[in-house]
Amino acid sequence: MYKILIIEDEKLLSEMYEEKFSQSGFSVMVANSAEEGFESLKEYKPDLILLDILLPQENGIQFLKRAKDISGVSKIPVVVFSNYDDPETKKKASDLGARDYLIKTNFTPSEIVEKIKDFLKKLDTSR
Amino acid sequence: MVNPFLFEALKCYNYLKKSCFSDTSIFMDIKYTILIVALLNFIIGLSVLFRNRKSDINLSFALASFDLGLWATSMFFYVKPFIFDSEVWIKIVYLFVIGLIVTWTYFFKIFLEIKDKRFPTLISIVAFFFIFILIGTDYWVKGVITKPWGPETILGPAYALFGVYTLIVMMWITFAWIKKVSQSKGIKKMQLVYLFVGAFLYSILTVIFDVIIPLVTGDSRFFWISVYFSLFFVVASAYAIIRYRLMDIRFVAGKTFVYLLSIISILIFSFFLMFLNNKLLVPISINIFAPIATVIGILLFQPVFQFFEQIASKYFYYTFYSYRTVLTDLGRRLTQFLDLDRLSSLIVNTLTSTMKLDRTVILLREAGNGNYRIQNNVGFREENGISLVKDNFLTAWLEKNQAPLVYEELSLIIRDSSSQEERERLERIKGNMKKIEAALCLPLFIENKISGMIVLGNKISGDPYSQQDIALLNTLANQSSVALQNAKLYDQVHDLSENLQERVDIQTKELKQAYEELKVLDRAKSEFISLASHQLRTPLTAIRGYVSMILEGSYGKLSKSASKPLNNVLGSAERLIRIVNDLLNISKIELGKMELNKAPARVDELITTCYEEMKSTAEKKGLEIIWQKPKSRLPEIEVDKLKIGQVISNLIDNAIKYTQKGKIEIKAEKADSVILVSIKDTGEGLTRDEIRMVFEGFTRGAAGIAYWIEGAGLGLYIAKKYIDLHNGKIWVESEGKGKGSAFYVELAIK
Repeated sequence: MYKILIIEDEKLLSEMYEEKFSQSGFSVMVANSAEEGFESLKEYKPDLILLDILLPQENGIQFLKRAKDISGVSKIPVVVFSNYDDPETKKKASDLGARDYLIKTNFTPSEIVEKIKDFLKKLDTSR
Repeated sequence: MVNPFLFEALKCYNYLKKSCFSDTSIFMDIKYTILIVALLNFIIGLSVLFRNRKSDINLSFALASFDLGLWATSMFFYVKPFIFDSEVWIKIVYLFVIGLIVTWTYFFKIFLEIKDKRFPTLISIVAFFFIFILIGTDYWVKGVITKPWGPETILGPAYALFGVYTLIVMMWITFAWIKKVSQSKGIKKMQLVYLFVGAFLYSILTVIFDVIIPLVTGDSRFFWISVYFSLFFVVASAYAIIRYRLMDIRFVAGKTFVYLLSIISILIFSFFLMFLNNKLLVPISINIFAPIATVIGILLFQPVFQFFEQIASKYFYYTFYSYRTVLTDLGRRLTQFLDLDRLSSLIVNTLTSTMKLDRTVILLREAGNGNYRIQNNVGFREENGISLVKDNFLTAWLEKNQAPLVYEELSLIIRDSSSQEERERLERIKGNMKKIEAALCLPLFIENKISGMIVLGNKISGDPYSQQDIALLNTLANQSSVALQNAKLYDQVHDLSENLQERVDIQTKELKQAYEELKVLDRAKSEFISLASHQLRTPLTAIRGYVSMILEGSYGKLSKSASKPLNNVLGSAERLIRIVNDLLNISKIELGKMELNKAPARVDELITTCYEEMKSTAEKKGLEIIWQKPKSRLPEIEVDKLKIGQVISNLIDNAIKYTQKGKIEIKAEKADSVILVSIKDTGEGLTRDEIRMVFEGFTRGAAGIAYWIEGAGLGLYIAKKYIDLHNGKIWVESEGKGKGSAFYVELAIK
């Protein structure tokens, strides 16, 4: 069973994704801010982090920057999923190690689940 | 060049020589020249009179010179009797001599501005007494005897009395003159000097020929020569009265001295030649000798004249030439500076110290409004310096006359002016000049337009500006105006470059500021877009997400009747999402934020992917969709796969959407150095206007939106932008409504 951490401030969406991922057999933890995310990561060690970009206080990019310096966290793959569609931000995220940058609105929750499943499976086989 | 003076001198010499050394008949001929002198006196008298008939000076002078003319005429008839005999003529001569005394007295009374009328009245009364003696008795003229050279008068005691009378008049005139000259300055003083020189030469030479020579030699044969000397007085006086600007007397004296010495030297030399000729065994005949001597004289005159001229310029009119040198020197130095302030102070200081002036100011004219500005001033009160030129008439007058304006001459100019208005204006200028104590306005011209002026005060000595001074000042003004103009231009260029730098700095700053503002605006726009995208997309994501999950049965099995409307909700949400995506893409393109992720790709492979994805949609609609792959593999080209894929799927999607029946044909081929993709359908086709507008976004404003093909969205506009970013071409061909359409995309291979 895969463990994921969803960092998403929008309640409506975080609940939806939590539900979909749970239904699809994931162990899900939701954080409403970058800070909450780091808090959770102290005990919870997910296989993957789904990260929103536009977050209150620290945004997704700042999260990625901070995460790099935390041992145990830096190795966790991060997939950005955001409606914020800006080439510069995309590039920054990719430079900071984000594995993918998905535009939320372009995918249904099940499509996202499928993408993450595929990604994790690939990751498993390559290990 | 034959000097006319020389010619006349030689003629005189020949007559003199012949009269002295050969026969006496020639001696009579020379006396005809007395008539010329008489005529000259009449002419000069008339010209002075016609110069200004209202002036008392001119009138009294004319009377005096007419009297002189009549006196000379009667003198001629005395030596060459006509109608009457010499005894009658000599009485007429003396009659005019008495007249002369009276007219002179009145002339000097008026000229020297003597108010007291008693003396001239007394002189006139006494004159009648002498006329009575002269005509009625023989106490004056006892008789005339004829000598070989002509008549000679035997004078009585009354003549001696007349001599005393004349002496008294001359003394009276002399004292009045001395008194006047000490009170005058400027042009008046100069006139008085001229008058004195003329009268002195006339008197002294007359005394020599009429009194001293007869007394010493007992020979009064040269008595008649004194007639010629009257011209000294008449010419000098007329010149002083008529001319505005008198020649420096030193200069005239110098020139006269040079001419006299030259003529005398030539004459001495000729006599010496004649002396040598007489010493020869066989002397050359006078008929041959005279022309030779004349030619020698003519040839010698020029070098002799130059020789004396040099001496004179060295000693005689030295002072005049010394400041001429200084001013010429100044002209040379003017070219050494380009600095306006240094240049103008050089001019002002040199003029003030060399000509010994009490004040000098340079006024320069502003280019724009034509106002004058004090550039450099010595001695003038600043506020008065400008008041002179506030009146534009002065500028206009100077421009019209192209000559300096001399205060002393103003009254004469006013007198001679015909226009009442001009007279009034000139009076005002005169008043202004007097107020600021200016003596001369020296205009500075650049191409006949006044660029400024130098205003000069009076000479400290009280001397007026002579003709030579003004000629020099004119030359200097020309040089100065050029030098000042250069300096002014230099200053302007200098200021301009400084100004320019300043302006460039300001504009750079402004540009920076504008750039900063633009950057802020740009950031604001980006932020707005991201915000909008976030705000719009988040609820859309939720709608799409939840509906899709409901449809997938995440929340329990769905009744068939509910799934259809929910599918509609999903479709609408997806359509809305596409519109938002399009809008965001367009803003990105317009902000220049759209970047290409280029990688090698084969266009036919991209088409295949799109074809596979959309085949089912077309087939569901009952359309035939054909993907005609190229016969040979297409070469790989550098493209943004995602964007080119988006363009192709957009074109295929449109073809499906607008075709109700028939087929869609997709082709890709290599043609020369391009890959050409075509998507043809048998659908609705496009009107000519639609063809024109189909790739336009809303950049064209309302008109663009009006032609926005219903439901086509902004897909084609974005497609065009994407293809443009690839430096490719996209276009559409259609034969009209209902005749299908063909979209083409052309991408360069390299």
